[in-house]
Amino acid sequence: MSTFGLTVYIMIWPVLSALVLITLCTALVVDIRNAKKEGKSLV
Amino acid sequence: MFQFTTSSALLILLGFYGVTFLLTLTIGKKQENADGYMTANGSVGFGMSAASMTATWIWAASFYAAASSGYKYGLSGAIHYGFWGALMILFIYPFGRRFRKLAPNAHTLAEIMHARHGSSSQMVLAGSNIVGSVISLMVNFTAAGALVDILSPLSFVQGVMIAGFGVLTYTLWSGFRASVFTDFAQLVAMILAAVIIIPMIFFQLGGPTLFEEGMPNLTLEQQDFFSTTAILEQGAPYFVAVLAYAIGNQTIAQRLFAVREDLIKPSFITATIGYGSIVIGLGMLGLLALFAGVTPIDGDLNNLIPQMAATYLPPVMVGVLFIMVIGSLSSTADSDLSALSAIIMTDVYGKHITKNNPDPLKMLWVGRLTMVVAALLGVVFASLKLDILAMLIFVGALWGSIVFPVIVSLYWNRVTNAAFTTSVAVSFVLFLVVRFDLLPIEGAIAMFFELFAAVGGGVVLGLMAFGFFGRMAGLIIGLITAVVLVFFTVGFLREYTVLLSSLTAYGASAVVCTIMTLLSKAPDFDFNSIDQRVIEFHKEEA
Repeated sequence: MSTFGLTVYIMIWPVLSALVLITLCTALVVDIRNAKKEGKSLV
Repeated sequence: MFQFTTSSALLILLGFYGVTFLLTLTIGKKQENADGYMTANGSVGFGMSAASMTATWIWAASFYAAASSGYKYGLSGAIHYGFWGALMILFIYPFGRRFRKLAPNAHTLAEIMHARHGSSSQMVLAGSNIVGSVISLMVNFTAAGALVDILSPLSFVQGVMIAGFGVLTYTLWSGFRASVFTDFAQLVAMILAAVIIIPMIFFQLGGPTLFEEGMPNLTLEQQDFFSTTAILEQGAPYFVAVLAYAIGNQTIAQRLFAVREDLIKPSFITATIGYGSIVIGLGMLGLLALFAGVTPIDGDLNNLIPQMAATYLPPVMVGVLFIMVIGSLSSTADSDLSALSAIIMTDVYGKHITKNNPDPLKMLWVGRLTMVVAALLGVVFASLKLDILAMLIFVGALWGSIVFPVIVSLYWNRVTNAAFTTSVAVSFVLFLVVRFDLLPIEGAIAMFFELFAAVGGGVVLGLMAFGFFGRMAGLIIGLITAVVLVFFTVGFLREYTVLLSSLTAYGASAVVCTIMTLLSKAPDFDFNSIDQRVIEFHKEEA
């Protein structure tokens, strides 16, 4: 594997983790809004 | 190497558990109900479910083992830990949808087995879940003790006790609801730490130039992305073991029963990606250590991550890592406490002591008392510093024995209670024989087990294909895999005891369960009856 390939191989995981974090936080906001609208607890 | 002072270590730990406890106060109810305490009434949304699934599946050992694998096996090492672990979250979801369809109000998988087969199958599953969760608690408290011991002047036992008390404090009152709610915050802390720490250490070590300078530190095998050693010693046994964990672990089943039914698929897919990226990413720290020529302290690979952090990160970031590891072990430990309380509440108190007619308030207190006892056991066992690897293998095998009987029982209406329990017992005994060399694994004996292992390989891949593509695909792929594997296992697999014993557990349980079922003259089971037998324990207020 080339140096560039290895760099991507190491750095891709924090990038993916960050994307998951954004997805989860967005989903949480939606969950909170829905729970408020329905007058229910989040969990 | 950097160490916190006693007061700063205590401040971080008390701060972490204090904030977590305060978070749970925002969802606490004066009158919790039993179903909410065990499964949050099956109505948790996508964000919370996916985060909780990810946080629960990631425990402290995930980081240490992934980094160890990266250090030991080189380029493919972290993948052989994290990728298979992630895939198993994905693997369980088609079966999870079936479980939910059959028993929408279930709290535990053992409860469904009770409705399907009766007490003995239920107690086999519940018993293995209890042993597994107590071991998991012990492992996580042990990890807390080890981390505190290496990064502060506090002792191992003090670390264990703080973690045990901290987790119990915020989980005790609201149970599973508290576990899921705090999982989100704990996962956010874990992801943030991973996102910051991995690039920081990488560039501290020199960035891309590290690869050019450090390549001679890797053996040819470690430089090979398709290393056979890595596959046979790390990837395959882990793949097989984690498959069993996905089915046999009540913490996963509990989240399956908690998420809103229409959100099972997106939650599991997101959790798969989340788990894979975090764990493989932190596993890369082991690979970086290998490139940099780092030698683990005392030769113990578990020291790699704290050592890398303490050597290459500023104190603030070591604190972030400290919180990340404490967050990961706490999120799994609180899930284990919730899992254990649900099993005792449902499978012991609800089904056996009160015969499906429990007092809801008393049931709640049974759950809370269970948590206290379980936390105490976890702390005591962790303080004894038992060999956790051997225990993990033991439980993994127990669960390996139940995977086929559990799944097939919920699809095939001819499977009997006798077929379930006998197949689990026989396969577990055969596992013990191989794993602990109770017989010389050579000649005809070795071939006997290698044939079962070939069948076991077919069972693993067949079940995966069955989950996603249906019965015919499962049968065809399972059969082809088993036949092909005969040529690769016989005369060869006897050298890899861990893999041989795990696959034997799958193969033997599948063979015995199938033969006994085919020979049975019992009437076919009506799957609709499961929903009638698996009930909610609380009544909705008018």
